[in-house]
Amino acid sequence: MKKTKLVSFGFCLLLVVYCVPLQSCSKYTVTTTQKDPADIYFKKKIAASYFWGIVNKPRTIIDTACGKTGLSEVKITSNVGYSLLHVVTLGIVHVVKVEWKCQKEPPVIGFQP
Amino acid sequence: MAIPRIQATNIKLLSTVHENFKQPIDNLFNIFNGDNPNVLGGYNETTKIIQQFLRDALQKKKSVRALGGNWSWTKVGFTKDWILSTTRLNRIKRTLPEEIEPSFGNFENDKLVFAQCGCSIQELNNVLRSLGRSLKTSGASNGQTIAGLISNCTHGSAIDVGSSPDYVVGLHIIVGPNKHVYIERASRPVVTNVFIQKIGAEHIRDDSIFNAALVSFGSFGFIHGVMIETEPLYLLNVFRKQMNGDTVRPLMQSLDFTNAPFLPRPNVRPFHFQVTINPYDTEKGYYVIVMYKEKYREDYPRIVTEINKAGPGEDAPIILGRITGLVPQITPLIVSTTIKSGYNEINNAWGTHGEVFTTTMLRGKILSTALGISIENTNKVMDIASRLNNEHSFVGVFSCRFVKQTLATLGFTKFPFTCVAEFDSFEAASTWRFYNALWKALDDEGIAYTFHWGKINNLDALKVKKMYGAKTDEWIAARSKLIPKEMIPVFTNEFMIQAGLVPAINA
Repeated sequence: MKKTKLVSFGFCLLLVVYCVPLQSCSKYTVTTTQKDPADIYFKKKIAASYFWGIVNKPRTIIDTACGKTGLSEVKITSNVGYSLLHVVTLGIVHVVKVEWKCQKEPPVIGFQP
Repeated sequence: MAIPRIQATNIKLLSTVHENFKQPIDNLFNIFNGDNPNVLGGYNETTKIIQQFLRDALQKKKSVRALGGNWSWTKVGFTKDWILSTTRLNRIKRTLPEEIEPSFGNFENDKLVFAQCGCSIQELNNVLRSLGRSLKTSGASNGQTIAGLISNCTHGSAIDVGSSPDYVVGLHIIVGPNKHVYIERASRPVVTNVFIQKIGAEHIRDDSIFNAALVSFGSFGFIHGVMIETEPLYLLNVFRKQMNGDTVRPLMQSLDFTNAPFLPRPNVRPFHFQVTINPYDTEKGYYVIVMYKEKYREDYPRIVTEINKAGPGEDAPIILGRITGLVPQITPLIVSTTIKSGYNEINNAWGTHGEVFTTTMLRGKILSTALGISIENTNKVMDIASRLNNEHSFVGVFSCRFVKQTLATLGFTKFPFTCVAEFDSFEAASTWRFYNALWKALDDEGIAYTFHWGKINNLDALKVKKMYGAKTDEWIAARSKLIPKEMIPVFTNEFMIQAGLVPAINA
């Protein structure tokens, strides 16, 4: 009986490992209805929070290239490794991947010259 | 005052929006307009730095590709060397009466607008709406740039309108460091010398060059501006209904709506007609979208999008692809559940073109192949696909969209009326098996078809020649006529060599 359970557990584990891509576990995107990115690729940064949020590194992610139009979309990704790290360190280390694209500037329209 | 600039990103590996491949590149560059408030003054400044960029590419022996929304699934718009991201080039010039030939017809405000290459369809929809105008058609979504949209022959399903290149009436193309041209048809001249002088280009009126340049995936030079013909703002009255195959199939191979009493407006030819088929319910699983075009009015009920509804996450395609690979028996359940949640009935909804064909939130590794076939073969191809589905458990849906013939030389919507048969799926081994089996089956059965240039295909020189015949040579000849000889390698990418679209192979 115990052996059967062990085999079933092993099978389930293998299934999960096969099916779940290691690079991601959960992704969530924030965007707007007027999403119109200027960038064709996501810029990325790994953000870490230490000691239950006492220290953040980097403190804030600032993109100086986006200009006055701001962000088009932001994606937050966690994965199995990050989750494990979070659990093993009892929440002392919490890591996420943050990706974003800048929004386009509105078009210049007119009759001139 | 900011001047236009080109900035190297030092990105060495580039993927598409759909993440279906990664291409090593020498560099990705972002190009920015300056802040000259004069629309064409600023536009012309940008022309100059693009010419300088091409000069550098020529000197350093680099091939160049302008990239739009990065929407394509194929390497048609990629190169291994320099890629220039154009999304920030979004100026829009409204035309004046003295800029338009009287022979074009009575001048209408904003019937013609000159859009810089990086204008997204969303931007054009918004701007045109504010001017009381609309695009004639577009794809199902709005993330492409105008130059990217036409360069792949993006099509929609406005049956009597055609594809996106069919409302383009002029192209401003930078073909080298010392040459930029404005091309239009000799049979339908549009702009006067007044306009040409304002952009400082060489004026070419030539049907064969223009028609070839329309669908040229960036290989005719850097398309900097596109003159588009718009129409007065209109509304679409939208319906989606599940129907039986027996009812819909006659329409799919004839587009004859004179005997279609079951449609929301009985026997009326719709503006837009589209059918999505559940491959696991080929008797009753036909989801029909029809749209009727109406004059714009202010008091229509706006489409409300449910933004808090649960839906598939970004990794859903890849995980479901793997699960169905492991347990193919659950594929019908997954496909049918997805269709049920995503293809609910739409009854009498209203919206402008930009509101109906809006931002897609689909993410992750999705795949799509799209074949252009003559409408007489629509049901035959769908039957072949259904048969192959029994063997390969396709994790996706079949769709048919319909458009009239394009004038673009290599436009894949080449039949008098083309059914664009689409097979959308996840990244899964079964998807590739199904695609390969489908393409082979069509070859074996001798059914004429073309490939959407921007979607998954197995094009090579032989296939391109078979699909387009003498038009391939016309296209190559037009390109050779337009581009200075020394610039040919700069605008030639690996895909073109594979597809036999270069003079050396076809000479």
